[in-house]
Amino acid sequence: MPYPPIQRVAILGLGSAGAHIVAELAADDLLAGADLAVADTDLGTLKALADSVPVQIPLGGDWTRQESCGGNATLGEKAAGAASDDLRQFFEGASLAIVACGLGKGTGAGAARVVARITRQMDITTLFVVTLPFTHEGNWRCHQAKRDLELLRTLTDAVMAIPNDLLFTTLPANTPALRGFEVVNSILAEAISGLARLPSATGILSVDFADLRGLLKERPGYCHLGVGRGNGAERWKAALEEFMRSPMIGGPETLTKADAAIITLVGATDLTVGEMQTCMTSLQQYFPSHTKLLVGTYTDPRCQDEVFLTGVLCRFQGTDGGAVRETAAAATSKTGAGKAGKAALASTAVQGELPLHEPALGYFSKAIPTICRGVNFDLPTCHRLGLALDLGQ
Amino acid sequence: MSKRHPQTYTGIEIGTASIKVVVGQFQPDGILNLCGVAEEATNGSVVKGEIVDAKKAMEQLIVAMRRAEQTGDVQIDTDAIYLAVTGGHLHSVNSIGTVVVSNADRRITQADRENAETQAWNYHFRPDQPPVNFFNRLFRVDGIREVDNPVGLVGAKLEAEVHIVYGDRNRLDTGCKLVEEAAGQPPSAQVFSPIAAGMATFFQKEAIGKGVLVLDIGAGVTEYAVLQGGGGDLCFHTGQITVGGDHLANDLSLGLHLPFSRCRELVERLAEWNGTVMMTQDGRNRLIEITLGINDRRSIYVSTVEQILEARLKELFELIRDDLRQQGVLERIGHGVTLCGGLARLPRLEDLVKNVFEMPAEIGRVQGVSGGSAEILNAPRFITPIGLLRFGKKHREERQPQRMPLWSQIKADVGKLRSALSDAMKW
Repeated sequence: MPYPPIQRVAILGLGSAGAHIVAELAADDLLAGADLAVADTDLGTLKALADSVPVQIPLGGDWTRQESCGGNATLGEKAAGAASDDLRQFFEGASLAIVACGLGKGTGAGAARVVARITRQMDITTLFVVTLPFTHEGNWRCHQAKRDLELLRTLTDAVMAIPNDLLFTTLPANTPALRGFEVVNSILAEAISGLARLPSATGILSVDFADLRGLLKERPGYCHLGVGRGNGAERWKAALEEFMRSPMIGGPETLTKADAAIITLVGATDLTVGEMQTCMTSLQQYFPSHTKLLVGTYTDPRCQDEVFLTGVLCRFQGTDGGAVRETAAAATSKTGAGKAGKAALASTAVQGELPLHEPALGYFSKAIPTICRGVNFDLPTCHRLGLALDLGQ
Repeated sequence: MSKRHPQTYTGIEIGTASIKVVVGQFQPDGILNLCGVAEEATNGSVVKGEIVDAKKAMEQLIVAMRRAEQTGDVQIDTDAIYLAVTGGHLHSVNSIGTVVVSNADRRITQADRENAETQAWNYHFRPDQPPVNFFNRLFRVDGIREVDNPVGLVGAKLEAEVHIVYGDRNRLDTGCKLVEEAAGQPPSAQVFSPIAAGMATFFQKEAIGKGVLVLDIGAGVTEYAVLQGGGGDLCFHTGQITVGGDHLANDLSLGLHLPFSRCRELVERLAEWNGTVMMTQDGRNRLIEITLGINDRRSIYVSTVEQILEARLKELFELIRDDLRQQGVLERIGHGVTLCGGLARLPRLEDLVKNVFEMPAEIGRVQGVSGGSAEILNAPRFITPIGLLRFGKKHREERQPQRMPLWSQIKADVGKLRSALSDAMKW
């Protein structure tokens, strides 16, 4: 192997949101190899989590009087700056760092920027898993979160943004509100643990963080995370089904709309080739042909007889599902050759772009279009071919 | 599932233009006796082969079923209802099952054949896209030799290919639920339409060793299947293009700026104006007069109509031909093309098909059917519903072993009793 194997994984939770996620992680015994820490300006939060996560980094107490930042990200940044030595010490010797925080408020967003700069200086591969607030937390917070995300993206590419709203599409409406936050934390914890386990597992088909970073470089709008586990006879099937029912994925439709995906399957040493293959082929059936799919398989002796399927699905901004919107530009109806036709031809010679005419569908305007090889066959053939029709009187 | 023979077989096709219900009984020699036939126009409740107005479609289905029962003075046996499926969501795949021949002398056994078939049938489908039909395609020995029956041949590897049609679960269930609500029981089986059409037209014809292409051109969807073997046993390929008669009418409507319903009429009555689906030389000299309102009269050249229709149909057939070529089945069609479906009778359609596919084409006719008026037996749009009954019978026979006539059964039972008694005596 050209590079030394990844030794130490450091997972840091910033701000109260991040801290709670990491606290959930601490309960997961499969993360024996990673180092966990929480950092926050609010000493109260740190004290409450002292049992689950012993390693604690209080951030800049003097700036905030040991309380939370109250939604002020600049304050959070200054507070984290004050504690940068402690942060640096935590990351020392780590080959991989995962930072979890919630954007939209103070500490998480501000401290994340500081951590990004630190890890860049220390040359550590870092992955930021950030949550975007629920819409019901308020408009201003959502705006703030978006701004924080943009700022963070200027410092690092490897940012996975998970909107909490995704839960609304899958959790039943009568779920108690507190439970909503709990679900977010537990899913993120599971997904992070799935990702963090990769360095210590033996790769059969390796998908490492370089691949993930390459994918995230294209700035996906937001990501869906899902985890599934299964045991027993048809364990990969159970894992697959649980993965698709994951609250943030909520069904196979999300897979059919994903533009890129990283899927990892982790099993114990008794993972068979057949299982691997059937699992991956059946999973790949759900993705459209243009999806960038990275698939990795690992064995981890700590898994015993379970298999874990972790998936990150990304949707890039601005794509609305390519095929249907490919309106045939040739669908301008021409009635007879002659001046009109010639004028159109002349203008194509000069201009680069022509306005797209709304193609006429007639009877089929409300039906599911018949698209074959990117062409909408509901449009009249005579129009698509540009036939000159003599309409009589 | 009751083991008795059903009183009547019923075939239901929920087509884009009309819902058709056919009720029939089978004579011992295999001839199908049509008892009741009914057709009910859909008036827009079905578009492109898919039900868009379930309530209206159900009412129409119930009316059709009652009328079929009345005209034939029969009762629809709800245990034996067969439904034709169509629609843009249907796709097909060829699944291959491989076995390494286990025998020391490398002769392929029946067990090998069954193993290969089982493997081929075990194609993993997405839960929301279940399989609809399975058809045996061929067997291949050692990757090269294609055979119909591999048992007894010598080889190292046996592959069984099965052609599987699958579609969207929800859309398939919509049809089933509709039939269940109308008839009280869901259909016993569903089949992709062109297969049923093939079974109706090729019954009792000598085994089509050379392969035939069945084209079912309907109002909403055009389906096709390449069949071979006795009664269309083997199916090499199936497919559908969601383009049909409605597209012809729509093309005319948008191309000539006429209302859609008048264009539909125009297509149906094309022969009255001596119009055809291929542009003719003297078409320019003939005009079609269309009255749209009191002072609104249009005269359209027949040649323009022909031009629009030819463009659309040619494109459709070329798409099908290209798909067949890509799948490597175009060469398997030795017999030619058989046209079915509501639009098969368009003037000179066979000529257009002959031009595009470069092989003989004819309009299909049901074989081995008695009863029913001459109009129905000659109408290509009833080929598929009648074929559903043939499919139903075959489906039943394959699910249950042949039942012996009563007398031989009694003899066999007595024989068994005697041998059981003598065994008991030996103790």
